[in-house]
Amino acid sequence: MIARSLVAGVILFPPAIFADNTPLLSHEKLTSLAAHQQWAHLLHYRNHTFTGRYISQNDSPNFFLSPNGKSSLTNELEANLQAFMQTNLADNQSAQCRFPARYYWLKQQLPELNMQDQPCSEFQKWQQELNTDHLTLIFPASHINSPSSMYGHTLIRLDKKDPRSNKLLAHSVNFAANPDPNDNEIVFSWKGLTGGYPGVVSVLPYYAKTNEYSHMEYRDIWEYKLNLDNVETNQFVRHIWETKDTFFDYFFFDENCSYRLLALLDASSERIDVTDDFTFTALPVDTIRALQQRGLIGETEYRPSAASEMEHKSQQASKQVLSQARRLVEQTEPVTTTVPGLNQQDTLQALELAYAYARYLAVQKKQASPVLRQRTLEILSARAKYAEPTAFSPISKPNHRDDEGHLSQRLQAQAGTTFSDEHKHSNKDRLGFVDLNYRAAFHEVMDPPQGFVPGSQIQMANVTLRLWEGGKARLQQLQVVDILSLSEQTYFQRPIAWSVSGGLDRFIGSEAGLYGYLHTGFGKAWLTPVGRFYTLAQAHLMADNQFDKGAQLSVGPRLGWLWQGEQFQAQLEANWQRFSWLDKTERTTIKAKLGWRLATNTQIKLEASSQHFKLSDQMSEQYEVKLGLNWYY
Amino acid sequence: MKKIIASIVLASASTAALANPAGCGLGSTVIFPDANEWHEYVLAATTNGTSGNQTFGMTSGTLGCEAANGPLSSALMFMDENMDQLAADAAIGQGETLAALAEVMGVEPQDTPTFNRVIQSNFDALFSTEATSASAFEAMTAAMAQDKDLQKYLG
Repeated sequence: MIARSLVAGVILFPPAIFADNTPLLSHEKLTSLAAHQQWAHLLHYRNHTFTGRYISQNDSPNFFLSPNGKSSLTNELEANLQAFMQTNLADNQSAQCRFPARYYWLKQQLPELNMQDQPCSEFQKWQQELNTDHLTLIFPASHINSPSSMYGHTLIRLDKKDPRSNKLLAHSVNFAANPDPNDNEIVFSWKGLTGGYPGVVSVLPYYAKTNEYSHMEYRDIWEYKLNLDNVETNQFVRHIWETKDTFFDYFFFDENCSYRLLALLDASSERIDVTDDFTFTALPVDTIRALQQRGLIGETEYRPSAASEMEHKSQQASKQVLSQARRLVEQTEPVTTTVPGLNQQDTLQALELAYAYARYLAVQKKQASPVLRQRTLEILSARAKYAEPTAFSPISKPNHRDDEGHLSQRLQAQAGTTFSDEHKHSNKDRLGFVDLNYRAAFHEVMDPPQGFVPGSQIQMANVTLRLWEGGKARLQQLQVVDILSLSEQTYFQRPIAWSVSGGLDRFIGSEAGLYGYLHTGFGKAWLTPVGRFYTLAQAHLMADNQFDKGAQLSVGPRLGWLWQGEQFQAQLEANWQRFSWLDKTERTTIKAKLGWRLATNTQIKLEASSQHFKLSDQMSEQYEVKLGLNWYY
Repeated sequence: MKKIIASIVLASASTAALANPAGCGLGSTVIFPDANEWHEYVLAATTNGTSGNQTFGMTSGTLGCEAANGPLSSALMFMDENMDQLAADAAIGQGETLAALAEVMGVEPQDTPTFNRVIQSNFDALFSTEATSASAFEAMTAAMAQDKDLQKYLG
């Protein structure tokens, strides 16, 4: 190991840099340079979130030349200067080859040292092959039926100068956990969340990523050109090389892919200092916004997923073409070059759609089989008999990118009143309240929809405090997680709509007690010109002393209608928990919501709900109406 | 998980690898294989990893493919990793993946329409249930050898 022998060398030469026993650098110069922000960025020094210690986030000894390199910027600087000054070294043996970005920066800072470049053929060859002219930030967007993908991911593509050069052949820098393939699913997720896996930087051909995101996971990709100049771009590439064979602990929420990419960018230029914006969480979409605010983002490109392509093509095809496309995949007789009843243009459409559908079945629906494989090839073979270009118009960019949507956190202030059915209840009819709500992340279907997958919702840490008329304050609601996925049925895709929600809640009314709940539901959703309709079969588990026997398990239908307009958002929903166990109370909830988008990050919201309880012949009804303002930040 | 990392195009041509293209697992990719185990999805969700291999964009050498240099073997490696998308593009005679293959093969822009047409009209020779990336590669070079505009790219 080069690094280790260098470390040994440094130990023999105690602090301060000497040449012929004369210090090359004064103590003052050394400490001031070690305190330079850029030196800290090159070494990935950050204040540790919890301990407050200022140390490097790189966890590999070979990322440092000094044994104290992880915790002492000065020691590492001395060790590096010492090593970089060594001359007459064999090819690839100099520390300059191991840490070319540090060397480049220090040589600029200290021209008086007159450092001599040593031969580094391996690094040079690598750099030449990458042939990077500019950087592009790659953001695979979220996918509706995969809430974890809503969190997103980012990588950086190293683009060549020639604009005709195929993007698929460029390389991309990816920071990801390097997991143990022998771990099972649960260990996997746990370690991924808690930093149990080492995070490593890899450099992969871009097609490896597009094959994964566009054709396997069916996620659209946004590509953002980064406004770095040549000097900065080259320094980025040098710095990537320095991370080779080293690791950083990977944490899903904060020190994740997007965080590390920012840190790598920070290390590339003195004008970039973005990473410290993110302490506890680094949502990929927020890291893009942070770069945007600093003017580091240029033009954007859209790369549709195979699923988006398929839907776009279906919309151009006639009913007859659609049904023929499906028949081509599902029939048993051999595929022929002509399709009965279709002219040539329609035949091409049917064959191209059939291929997309066959891949969808194999990849997304896990129906891969030798029969389907044979059929997919037959469909392509039939299509290849026509020299005509593709039968579909190209897909256009969506109106809004993910980063153009509302921001991730939300504050809400609402005022409202509750009342109960006057004929059946003698207690207080009306009582006003004020709600204060905070949501840590991310989006609900009633928020302004721009930039989010329609019909998808994922909320985490959603807390409401309520102040009742008369001064009583209490925790009204605490949603730990709340996911709703209302992917619509299309001609080819038959996704399951589903929901999961868990936390603490109360029924309507000032006397209602807090209970714990876990809800889940499965069903279907349909998108029509007049909105999205959905129906789910819900199962609810609620627990608290207020329930007979301490808990209630119930099932019943949940029906809804959702309108996600650019300006107005509306939702109507009825949930009838018809069958119940333990506590026998039958509960029905009806909700109506109306949202009015004022700006990207402001919305007015009006909500009305009613709850009906029935236990043998006893009935009660409660109502609540509230109006308020949402602010996203 | 495939262990071969396709390289960047190199200027120097070396056909040594082609004599035994499958020597290091190169050329053995089939089209539309059954894939997708759970871990690919969980991985993507929590770690964004795709495989256990740490790779660094190195050309050849690192994974037992020492001789795998030059445009022709780069093309073979590219086909190894892109069989599915190539078949889809070849069937239509256009597309980004087909364009990338042309670039890896060193096909000049004025000859790419011809290249696309030759690949499309030889679809059945390149892609079948029995085909591997190596056999597809051979079929491609055989088809190119028959075309006066494309012969020159075979070195």
